[in-house]
Parts: sequence; C-alpha cells; structure tokens
Amino acid sequence: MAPRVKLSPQTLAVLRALVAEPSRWRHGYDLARETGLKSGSLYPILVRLADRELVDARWEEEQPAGRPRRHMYRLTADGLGAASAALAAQPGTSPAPARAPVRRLAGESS
Amino acid sequence: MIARLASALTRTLAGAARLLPADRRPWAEALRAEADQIPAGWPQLAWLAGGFWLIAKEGRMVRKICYWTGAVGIVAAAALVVLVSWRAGGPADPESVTDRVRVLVGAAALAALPWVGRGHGLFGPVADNGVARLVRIGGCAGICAMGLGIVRADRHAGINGVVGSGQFSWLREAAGLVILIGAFAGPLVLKARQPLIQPEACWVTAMVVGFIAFILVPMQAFAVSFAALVFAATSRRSPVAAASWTIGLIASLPTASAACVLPFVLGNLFSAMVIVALVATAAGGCAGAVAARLVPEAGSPDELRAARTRQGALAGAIAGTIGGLGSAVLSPILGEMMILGLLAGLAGGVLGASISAHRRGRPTPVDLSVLEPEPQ
Repeated sequence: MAPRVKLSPQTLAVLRALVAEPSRWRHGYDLARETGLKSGSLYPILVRLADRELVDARWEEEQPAGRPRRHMYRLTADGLGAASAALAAQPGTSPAPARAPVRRLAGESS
Repeated sequence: MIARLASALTRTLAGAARLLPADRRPWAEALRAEADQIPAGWPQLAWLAGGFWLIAKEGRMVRKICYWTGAVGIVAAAALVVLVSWRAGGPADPESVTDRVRVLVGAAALAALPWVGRGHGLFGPVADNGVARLVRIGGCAGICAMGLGIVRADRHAGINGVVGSGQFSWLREAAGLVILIGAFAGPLVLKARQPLIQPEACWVTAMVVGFIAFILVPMQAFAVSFAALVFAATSRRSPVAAASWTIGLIASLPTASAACVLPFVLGNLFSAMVIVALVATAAGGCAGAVAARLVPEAGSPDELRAARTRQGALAGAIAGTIGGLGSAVLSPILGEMMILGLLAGLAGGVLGASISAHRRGRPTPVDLSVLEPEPQ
C-alpha cells in the first residue's frame, strides 16, 4: 500500500506530467517546461519520488554528440498506481489516461 | 557577461555538489548536465541557481550551518569561561585555583571526548537528526554555563578560609584526574585485552573507578561525565530514536520549570527536590509511555516489547536530565537536580514504557518524517 502523504500541487503537477506518458523517459528540462516548475523545486520532488520508488531514474545510455548525457525519469509500476490514485483524489480533476499498460513499465527500456 | 557567469556557476555547482552525500550527487550532476539544454541567458542562470537550492536542501546545509555555528559558539563560550576563571581571583585564593582546574578539565572534556571517541563513534559524530544536534549544542552550552556559574559563585569564596574548599592540593587534583581518565580508558583497555569480556563487566569497572574519582574531584568528574553523556547520547551510535528525543525534550519542560522555580518559591531545597523528583517521574512516565508507542512494529513480540521499554526509558531519562539541567544552569547549587532528574525520569520512563509496552491493543503508528519537500 502506498504511504499516505499529503502531496503538494507541485508534486501533483510532476506526477500529472509523468502519468500522461508513463512509458516514456522524460528529462528534467522537459518536465520543468511542462509543469512550469523551477529546477530548484522540480529536482527535490524527483528525488523524493525516486526515494519512495515511485520514479525510475537512469542516465542516457549513449553519449550524445556535443552535450552531456541526460538523466531520465519515468514512473515505476507502483508510481503509476500511486500517481493515478493521487490525481483521481484531487477534486475536479481526473487522472490522465495511461497510454501504455502498467506491465510494460517493468524492465522496459525506451 | 551572462555566458561567463553561467560558466562560473556551472563550475561552482560541480564543486558544491561534493558537499552532498554520495547518493545525492547524481541529482546535482543531472541538473548541471541539463543546463546545457536551457536557452542561454537568464533562463540558464535561473536553472543553475536552482541547483544551489537543491544542494542546500539535499545536503541539509541549513542544519549543518546552524550546527557548526553552534559549535563555534561553544568554543567561544568555553574560552570565555576559562578567561573569566583566570580573572576571578588571584593565586592566593584556593577556591579560584580549584575553579580554574575545574573549568580547564570541563573545557578539555568538551574538546577531547569527540576526538577520542571518533574511531569508535561513541562520542561522535552527531546523529543525523535535528533534535540530537540541538541537544548536543544545548548540553555543551549548559556545561559552559555551569562552569561560569561556579566561577562567579566561588569568586573570593576561599579568601581568609571562611568559605570554600580549603587548601588547593595538586596531589589530589592530579590523582583525581588520573583516576577519572582511568574510568574512561579502563573499559577500552579491558576490551582490548579480553575481547570476550562481558560489556556489563566493563561498565561496572568504569562506574567503580568513576565513583572514586567523584569522591576526589567531584565537580570535574561531574563535568566530564555529563559531557560524555551528552556526546554519547547524541552520537550516531546512540540507541535513542529521533522520536524519543523529541518526546523527551517536550516532556522536560515541566521538570525544568519546577526545578527552576520551586527551590526559590518554597525556600526549602529538600522539599523542592522531592516535588521536582515527583514531577520528573510523572513527566518521564508520560514520555516513556508515548515513546514506547512510537516504536514501529518489527521483530518478535518479545523484541518489540524490549525495544519499546528501552526507548521509553531513554525518553524518560532525557526528559529528567534536561529538566534538571535547567536548574543547574540557573544556579550551581542546584546541580544535584540533574542527577535527581535523570534518576527520577529514568524510573518514570521505565514505568510508563512498561505499562505501554505490555498494554494490549493495536499500537498507533505515527510517522514523524516529513517527506514532502517545500517548493522553492
């Protein structure tokens, strides 16, 4: 059972962005643009979500030309369930439909 | 100009990331790597500035800065007490000379114990919770305040031999200090020579030797023991849980209030001590009962009961000791309130925890951790 923790609007915004495309690996700037959060707010939220194993994080596997490798994020299977539940519990909102089945999250690479 | 600033911030961020614990560094590195994708100019600067916020938050910099500011304050306070003890009276006053030794021994204990125990972690580093840091700084400040109180109370006390400890004796001081050091070193030597020795034997040896030192040099033994207690209780090896610290600290308030007020209101130290002991026992009992209930369920019922009793006893002892410390800081003659508070709080804590741990029914899980980060 997911721990009962009161989520801030910022955390819910990050979860909403991640739950929209749960199988896609997202990078920090991408999430910051979508949620409107500053880096100093976004990254502590991602750290907490990763600590609670709601978000998977990994580095880009290949070294891209002309820029450093990026850190990528997406929801875990538990995270998708917790995020959907948290978003559904918000008054006047409905969780974004998951475009990929939960089972694809386990061990799948983008 | 902005490009240079961004470049400087990027380099500084890379250096500052080393302040983070190892498991947090990749996050700062991730933020820095992402900065290359941000449009140059103010957006990029703002992104990098957020990195410093991340480091301050994840590295718990505010807590560290507060703690080390407090530690510097303790060093300054100890130096001040030494200075005051030197100016309080002349070499003809045996009480002043005695106080100088007392103050120097207390200051040396504050400086040396964390250094001596660093290998075993017995007296340091400090536990990773805010209350333990607060108690460590507060306990050290209390020792400094007691030293200052003793020096001020004893100023000129020994002149003409009317009041005070009488003649100063280097022999007694030296013998007392050697025995006091032996009380701390004895268990370590015993453990090194006989690794299979029971821990209880080490503790009993230390207590017997420490008691002899207490008879010879009571104030020095008291100061060193109290410093050791503060450092050991707040170290990472300490068995005190963060919740027990918080409960003990809150429960110390009634005892501290009673210990500070009653001796002056009643005008009778014995009556005041009896009432303070009752208050400390009651407060320790409440603290013990609550701390026991906050121990999360794990292990067998016997192990859980033992863990709850232990945390309850510790919370009660903390409540009583801190409560007694308040009066001891107020006036050196009330120093025995610390020992009284410790014993009464411990007794109350054991009693409260035992009742709570053996009580049937579902314990109430309470999560004191704060998981949600504050928005920037």
